[in-house]
Order: sequence, then C-alpha cells, then structure tokens
Amino acid sequence: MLQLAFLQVLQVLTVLLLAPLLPGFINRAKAIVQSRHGPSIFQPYFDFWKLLHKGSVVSEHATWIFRIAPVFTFITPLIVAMLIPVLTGYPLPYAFMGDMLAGGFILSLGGFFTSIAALDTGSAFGGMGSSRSRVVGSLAEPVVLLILFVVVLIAHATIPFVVNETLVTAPFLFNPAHWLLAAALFMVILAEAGRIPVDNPSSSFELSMIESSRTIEFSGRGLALMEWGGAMRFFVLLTILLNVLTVPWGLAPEHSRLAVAVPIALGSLLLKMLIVCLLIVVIESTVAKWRFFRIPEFLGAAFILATLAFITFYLTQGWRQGS
Amino acid sequence: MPTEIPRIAVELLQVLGVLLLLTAFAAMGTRRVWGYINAFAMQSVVLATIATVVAYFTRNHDLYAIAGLTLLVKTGAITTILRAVARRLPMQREPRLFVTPAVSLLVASSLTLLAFFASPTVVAPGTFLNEPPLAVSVSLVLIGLYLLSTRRHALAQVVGLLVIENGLFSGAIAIAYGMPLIVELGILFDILVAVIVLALLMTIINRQGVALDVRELRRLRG
Repeated sequence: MLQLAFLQVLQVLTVLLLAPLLPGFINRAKAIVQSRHGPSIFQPYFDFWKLLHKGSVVSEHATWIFRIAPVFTFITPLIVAMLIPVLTGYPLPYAFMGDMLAGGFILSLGGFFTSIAALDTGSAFGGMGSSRSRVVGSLAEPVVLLILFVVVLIAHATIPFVVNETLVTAPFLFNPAHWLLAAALFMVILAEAGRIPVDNPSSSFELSMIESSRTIEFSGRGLALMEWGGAMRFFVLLTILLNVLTVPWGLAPEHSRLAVAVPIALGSLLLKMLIVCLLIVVIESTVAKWRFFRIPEFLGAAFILATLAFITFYLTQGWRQGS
Repeated sequence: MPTEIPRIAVELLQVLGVLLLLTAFAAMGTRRVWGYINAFAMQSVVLATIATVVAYFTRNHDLYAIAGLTLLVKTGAITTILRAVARRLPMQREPRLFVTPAVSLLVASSLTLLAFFASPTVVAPGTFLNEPPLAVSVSLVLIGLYLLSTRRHALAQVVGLLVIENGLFSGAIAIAYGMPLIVELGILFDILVAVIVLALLMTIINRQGVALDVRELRRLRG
C-alpha cells in the first residue's frame, strides 16, 4: 500500500519536475539546427525560478478569474497525471477515478480558464488569442473524439491502463489502424500545444500569436504557473501518445523492485519523449507556420487519418473473422 | 501458388496498403506542383515495396523484376521528367479551386469508404490477398478520377492519370499476383511514353504563353 502511494506521488512529481525539460530541449535543439549556440536545456527551470520570485502586476479591471486561472492551468495536468500510465504498467489507486474522456475534459478545463482569463482583462490581444484558440480547439475536438471512439472499438475499454495493454498485443500492434490513430493524435497534439504548423511558440509578433497571446497579460508568479502548466500539459499529452497509444514499453511491471523498475521507467519515458521532441524539431525547422485559415486543412487531415483508421480497423477485423 | 500465407505477410501488406492510400491522400490535399510529384514518387516506392513483398511470399520471381522496373520507370524516369517540366512552369500551384483541399480530402475518404464496401462483392473470395488490398486499389482509381475531374493544373491531370494507373497495377497484384512480365513491360513503357508526350505538350503550351489551366484549354485550333 505504501509502495502504491509512493508511486502515485512519484507519477505526479515526474510530470511536475520533468515537464520544463521538454521545451528546454526543443529550444536548444532548434538553436543547434539554426547553427546558434542556444540556451541551456535547463533554461525553463531558471525562468520559472526567476518568475516565481517576482511580484506580478494585475490590471485593476481584472476580476478573481484572472487570479484563479493560473492555478487551474497548473493543477489540471497534475490531476490527469494520476489517471494515465506515466511510470507504472499497472493501475495505481487513483487510476479508476476517471477514464480517457475524463482526462480530456480535465485538460480542457485548464484551457477554458486560460481563455476566460485572457478575456477578463479586456485586452485586445487576449481576446483575439482566446477566440483563435477556441477555433483550433473546436476543430481538434471531433478528431480527439473519433480517435477515442476507435480506441474504444479496438480495446473495448476507456481506462488508459487497459487500452495500452490491448494495443500492444499481437493482433493490434501492427494493425495500420493503430498507427494511423497515433499519427492523428500527434497532429492534434501539435495543434493543442501550439507547435509550428498551427502556431509559432517562439513568435514575438502579437498579431500572429495564438497560445502565447492568451498569457500576454500575466506576469511574475501567474506567468510562471501558466507556462509551467503549459509545459506539463504538453508532457501529459505526449505521455498519452507514447504510453497509452503507441509504445508503452519500459513501464514498471507489478511486483517489481522499485529501485530497478522506476529508473528504467523514467529513463525509457524520457528517451521516448526526446525522440518525439526531435521529430518536432525537424518539423519546426522545415515547415513554416500555416495561415490561420489553413488550420482547418491541417486538422482536417488529422480527421481523415482517424477516419481511415476506423475504416481499416473495421475491415481488417471483419476480414479476419470471415476467413 | 502457395495457399498458406504467413500472418506477417498479411499484416505487412495491410500496412503498405494504408501507406498507398495515404500517398493518394497526400496528392489530394496539396495545391502545389511539387506536392503532386512527391506524392506520386512516394506512392511508386510503396508500390514497388508491395510488389517485392508479394514476390517474396509467393515466390513469383517475375514480380521482383516488376518491382525493380516500377522503381526505375516510375520513381526514377517519370518523376525526373515531371520535375524537369515543373521547374520551368510559371504556374507553381493550383489556381483557385472549386473544391478546397480540405473538402477534397473528405470526399476522398468517402470514396475510400465506397471502395471498401463495394469491392468485396466484386472479387471472388479465396484469393490470397483478398478484399482489403483490392479495396485499396479501387479507391486509388476513384481518387485518381476525382483528381482528374476537379484539379485545374495540367500537371495535376497527369498525376491523376498516374494514380489511376498505380491503382490498376496494385489491383493486378492483389487479384492475380501481378501480370505477366511482358505485359507489365509494355504498360510501363506505355506510361513512360505518355508522360514524355504530356510533358512535351505542357512545355509547348507553356511556350505559347497560354496558362496551364485546363479550363482554358478547351478550344481546338488547327
């Protein structure tokens, strides 16, 4: 029991402490691709440390929503971290608190508060940012739901710990439906995390921003919580992609020695994430940000991939049963 | 013909079949001339891989030669010719399309759905590759036709034609483990000549100073 509690806390701590590493790594790798030296991988930690020690300036027109929003953005990914397999291959006590649909809703609660906080101060950029991010979100949602439906069709379950066990069994591992779903989810993650074909995270031009214009009014501690929350959201989404949908290898098995299994789980998770981040670096260094009105095309393509996954799964399974 | 086909072959072919479809979707979702050519080049590579896999598992050695020739003619020669023409065209992307790529993708996916539901009734059950590969080739043909009928750029028309041909080629592999070598040779040579003629035609149209929009190429004059 004590061991389970320890693992449960460790899962949350992993997300909390390792999340800033990913943007740091991506920025450094992008800098190297552009033949710059670039900041240290640990720069986000330094930034958060500095911001947490600064006072924050709040507009006198802002209401309590503006003050409470960073807390929601910060906490929601940590709650989702309890529901998904970050380190262990078997369900921990809180795993049955909610399924993948609940995880999606909790994550979007954070996004909702970020959006209304951006509207709260009445700044033009904040309003623009939240209306744009809602457009992206409403386009991404059908794709996420379709992905979830096909996953449920394959695994007959919505609990992530059951889904990842089923997806890597022999009949499904190399089923094209499985990998099409993974590709569709990856595209949705790019859109949701504000990465390049949809939004440029390193842009300093307010008119073209989507994600960063929602946090433009925040400063000091609020900004630190917002950005840290964003990093954790990205980390959680990547964990879902890697440990639930595609390659849940290296997770600590049940009844294993913690001293061995946990470092392996941590190491493999980090390794997998760094590989995906390298892929993102390649995309961000070769593709330009798309026009805003072409975003439906990007997410439409993700929708097509998910539809194709549905078709191929339905037909390959029917075919196998028939012969 | 061996009757017992290992499971790995079936799974491998499923993955390759989906890749084939994805390349067709890639051609569908683009507006740029380079997008069309790259999609076609990738599709031909996947096709050659399918031929190689089928050749390995059915021990039909002619298919190895056909795979090699596909690679040589389609990804090699035809792609090079199309690239050489495309580099000189002033019109590098589609003019205003009546159907945007996003809608085209949706139409293409419903065409795929149609092909998947229609093809099991077409083919006799019992052939080793059976329905899904055939459905993929039928949907390639349909997508090619759709590309031909909605795109306005002359080069897109050529690529649409080539996608249809790729669909027929993969259909031949799915139903009959590939056609005889001599027939395939003839077909590949035919396509090569067709592409050369079309490339010449595009170059001439371009030199005449007429836009490469097929909607404006209606009047026939001696």
